[in-house]
Amino acid sequence: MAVTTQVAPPGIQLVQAKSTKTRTLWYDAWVQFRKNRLSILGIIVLTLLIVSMLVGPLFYQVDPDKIDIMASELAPSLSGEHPFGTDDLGRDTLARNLYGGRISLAVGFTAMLIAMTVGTLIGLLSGFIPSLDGPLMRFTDMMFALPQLPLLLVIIMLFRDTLRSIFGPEIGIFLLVVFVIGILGWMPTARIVRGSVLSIKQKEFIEAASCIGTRRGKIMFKHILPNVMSPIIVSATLGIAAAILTESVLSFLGLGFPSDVPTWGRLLFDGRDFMTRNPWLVFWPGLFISLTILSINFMGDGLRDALDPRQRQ
Amino acid sequence: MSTYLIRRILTTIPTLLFISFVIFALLALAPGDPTSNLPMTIDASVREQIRKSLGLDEPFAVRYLLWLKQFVLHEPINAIEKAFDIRIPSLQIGPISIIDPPGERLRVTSWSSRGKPVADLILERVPQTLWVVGVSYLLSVLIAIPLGVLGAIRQNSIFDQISSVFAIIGYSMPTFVTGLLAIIIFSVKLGWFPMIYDTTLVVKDFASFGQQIRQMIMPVAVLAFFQVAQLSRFTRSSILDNLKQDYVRTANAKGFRERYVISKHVLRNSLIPVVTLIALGIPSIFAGAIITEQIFRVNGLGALLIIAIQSFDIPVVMSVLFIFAVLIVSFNVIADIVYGFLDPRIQYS
Repeated sequence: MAVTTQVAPPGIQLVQAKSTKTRTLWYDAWVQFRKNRLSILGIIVLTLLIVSMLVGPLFYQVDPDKIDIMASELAPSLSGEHPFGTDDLGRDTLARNLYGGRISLAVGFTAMLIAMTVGTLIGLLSGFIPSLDGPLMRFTDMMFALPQLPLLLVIIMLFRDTLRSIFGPEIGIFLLVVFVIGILGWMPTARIVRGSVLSIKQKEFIEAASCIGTRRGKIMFKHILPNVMSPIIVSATLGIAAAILTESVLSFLGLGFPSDVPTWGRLLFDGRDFMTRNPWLVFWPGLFISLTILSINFMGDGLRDALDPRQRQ
Repeated sequence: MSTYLIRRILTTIPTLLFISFVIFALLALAPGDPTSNLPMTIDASVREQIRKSLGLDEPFAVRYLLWLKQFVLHEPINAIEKAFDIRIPSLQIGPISIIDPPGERLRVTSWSSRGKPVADLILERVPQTLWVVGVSYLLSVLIAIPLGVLGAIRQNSIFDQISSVFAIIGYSMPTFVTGLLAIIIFSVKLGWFPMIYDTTLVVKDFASFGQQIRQMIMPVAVLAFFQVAQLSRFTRSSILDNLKQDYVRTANAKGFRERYVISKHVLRNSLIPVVTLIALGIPSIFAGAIITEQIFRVNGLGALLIIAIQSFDIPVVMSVLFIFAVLIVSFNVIADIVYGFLDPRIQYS
């Protein structure tokens, strides 16, 4: 193909070079992201939530497990000792929600990391190595056909006691929940990554890289991976929301963490029995779960628009 | 088309075999013992006999193949025999009996419900699940599509913005949160609807019909709120994609009224992916019903699964999981076929 180049007069080029600053992909994305007010709101709310879960217990030093029968089932009051009220055993609701938020967020992040790692790896391999493409994608399809939630429930129920006896009640369940959510959640990422890899593989800069003798592994991780980062970031964001949701579903069905480990889902499950007398017990964890997922979804929407170059004007 | 169809249906067989094997292996490898819930006074030799009577002394592969035979051959054959009142003879290849003679045909039976056949247990539960889940899905399709269409046509109008915000709230609030909130507001505070779904209610007159409607409103509304949110967003973006296309500009340039262009051109094209999404969503609503059933205490299929998991009733768990998998795989095929049928650009070969 003949390439025609338009040579601009030198003067114009000089002016152009002066006026345009170097703008990276990430700066462009930020400019685009800033325009979406809801995503900014999402990021602010999410940051507030994370910070208050992480730092909150340092300032609000009430033991979440301290039982005080005399002060049971108090309604929230700003003036009293328990701003969010107490549960049936008189345990402080605010402290339990803060502590539970830490676990829920930790589960969300870790499970997302597992899902992203597996999904990215499988997507990269199957997009980059043609002989692996068929088997890996067939495998992905089969994993997609597994009934996710029921299977999750079954696995947790069956392996709960074993892991609890090996790693202890908290760590054991945490590892199990995180691992299972991660291992059943990588498939969408793998498909997206594979699609992007297949299109990027055809680009000239990959051809150039292999022409100068770059090794295949290096091409895959140095040249292709950075270019598929944007879909990965978007699906990671939405993956956190999905993982937090799944964890709370498990706990809500009584199959996640035991009742001495308060997560948001577990607090809902426990509060449900007292909901006719003390609706606040289900209100707070429900609010936190919804707010977290809402803000992550807003953020994800904005990120998708910002990182997809086709959307840019 | 027909060769594609046959091939597509045939490829589901290895998929389903793989899934059934994975689930079976998982359940077989799991630590845990069906006799662990029995009283401590039962001694080890009796326990061993119980395990033997459940067939647990056989090797794993034999157990899997026997399960496969019972579930895939015997159960459907029994159902056919019952439905048409015929007898299907046994089938033997060499020393292996593929189909046992009618009297000796073993069925998949539950470990905990006094050896009741699993198929009967499941059939008892399906109507409750279908009532709640089916009605809510139908309702949400009927609401979501007009909402999505209106939102797309009047993009960025106040209506569109309000419905968008509601949609994002809708799919960010898990059904167990909205469900519990609905219970607190409408049953505890206002006392409009019953808290617990009564599955023993028999609809025989207007009074009991009214009661049925009243108890269905909350679970159906909660499930529908979530699904409307997802479906209407999808419909909206699908229509927006189509509105940018050249053929819409051509139709507008020809001077057709907007209503005509939307209903005859845009809607037809943009509803194709929506229809496939609806087909793909059907199996997942069964799984989602597990949560809704738990909130409103409906004893449907999801509740059966939870009880079976808790009482270590492996045959029931295995069967329900496999039925879910069959639903997923077959609705995938249906979605593929419907897509090809609706969209002439898709050529199957």
